[in-house]
Amino acid sequence: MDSLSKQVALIVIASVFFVIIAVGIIILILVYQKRQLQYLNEKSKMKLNFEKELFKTQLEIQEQTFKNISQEIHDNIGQVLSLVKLNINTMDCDQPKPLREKVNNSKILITKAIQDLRDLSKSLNTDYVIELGLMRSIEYELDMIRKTESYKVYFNIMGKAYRLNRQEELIIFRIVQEILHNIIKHARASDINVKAFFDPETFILQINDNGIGFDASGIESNNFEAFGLGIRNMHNRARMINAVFQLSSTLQKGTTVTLTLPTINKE
Amino acid sequence: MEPFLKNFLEPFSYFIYAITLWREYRRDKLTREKVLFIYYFLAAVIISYASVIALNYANNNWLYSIHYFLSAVIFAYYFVKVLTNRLNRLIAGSLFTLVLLIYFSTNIILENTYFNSIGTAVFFLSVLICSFLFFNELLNNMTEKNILLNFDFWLISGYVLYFLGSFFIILSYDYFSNKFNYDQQLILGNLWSIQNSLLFIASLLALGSHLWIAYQNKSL
Repeated sequence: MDSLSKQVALIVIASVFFVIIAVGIIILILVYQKRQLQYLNEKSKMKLNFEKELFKTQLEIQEQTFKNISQEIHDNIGQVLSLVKLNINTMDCDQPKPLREKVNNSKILITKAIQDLRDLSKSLNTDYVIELGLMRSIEYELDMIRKTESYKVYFNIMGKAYRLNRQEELIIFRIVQEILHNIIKHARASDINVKAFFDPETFILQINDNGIGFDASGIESNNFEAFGLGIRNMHNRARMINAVFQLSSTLQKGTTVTLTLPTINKE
Repeated sequence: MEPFLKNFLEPFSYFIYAITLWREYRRDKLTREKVLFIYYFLAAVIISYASVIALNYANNNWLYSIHYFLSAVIFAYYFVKVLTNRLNRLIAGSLFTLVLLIYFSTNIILENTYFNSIGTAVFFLSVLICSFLFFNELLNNMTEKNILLNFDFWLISGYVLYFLGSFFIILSYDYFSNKFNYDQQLILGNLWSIQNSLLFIASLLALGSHLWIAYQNKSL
């Protein structure tokens, strides 16, 4: 009887042990699911934030583009058309030689105005960054600055250029716009130098100016919080596409911004 | 209390399962739940009859054999329906086919009138393997939907609790009944009580989860 009791007790212990294992398995699954749910929620939240930021970026690009267009119409096309109007007003049909000169001059001016309008209409398309590509969009942006004749603008592309993905191009372009806007507004520079390096595994974009510079010691130690919203936005957006945003500045010598994006060759 | 735990807790648990599955079927209208409801209702009737017979010391093994056969068929159907992966379905189908083959070879061909301990242990093992396959699928195909609101998860968790907890009790039955005399074997009734208690807990888990899911869906 003793032997039977011992064996029955052994079976009971084994059963209890397996019940504990079963409960453990069920708890493990529930814990795993909870963690998985947390991970999925965070992932979808991050995706939502990214899409929100991308949308904001598009709106900002559009806003900046409209500002540029407004300036272009006022400073360039408006001036050209005023000159044409002046020509027409001062035309004297009794003096054929000056009249012909003025007509020819007006023709040239109107052709220029038409060409400028054509260029502008391209940038009115909200997806022009996607259509033109990052390099041509930057070039277009630099052309606008060049036309003001206040800056010497240099743009160099090194390596075999390839397209980045839509989100990356949009965000990088918006960062470039912001940097150029800052140069115009604060740097008091005469030269703007933009370099794009297309490496098979990395894309590097460097923008530097020879302006007054500023104390960037906080940024060099990655303390972006101490700086304005513009710099913080650029840093955060770069992080969104896994790019590294670096800024260095020396007083009276200028500022350099470098954006490094790890990528695969997209030829 | 002891006769109830030994004889009537098992059909009572099946009755709880039947009520749960009936309510679940009324809510979800899933055929597999309807099939399970019919199975548990029949199991409650068969095992109740077997328990009444046992009180008169008559042989009720033939009723357990019917229950064993029915369980193998229904669990095969349920797991083939609930599993989504083709290989897993094939494994489930093969395992329960093996269980049925054991049933036919021992109960029909060899005309065994004793309780088929090994065959039942193989059946228990098959349910456990299929349950783990289900868990594996659940973890691999995790969605944002809360697992706690999945009735199949709770039902199968109950199966793991019962079938894993009572696996050794079933497996050892054959060994004990061959080694000890009838009087000594009476002590084995305690093991049946443990097994029935686990089945009761599993049935309560199914009923509780059903009510909780219904409450959660209502409050959403």
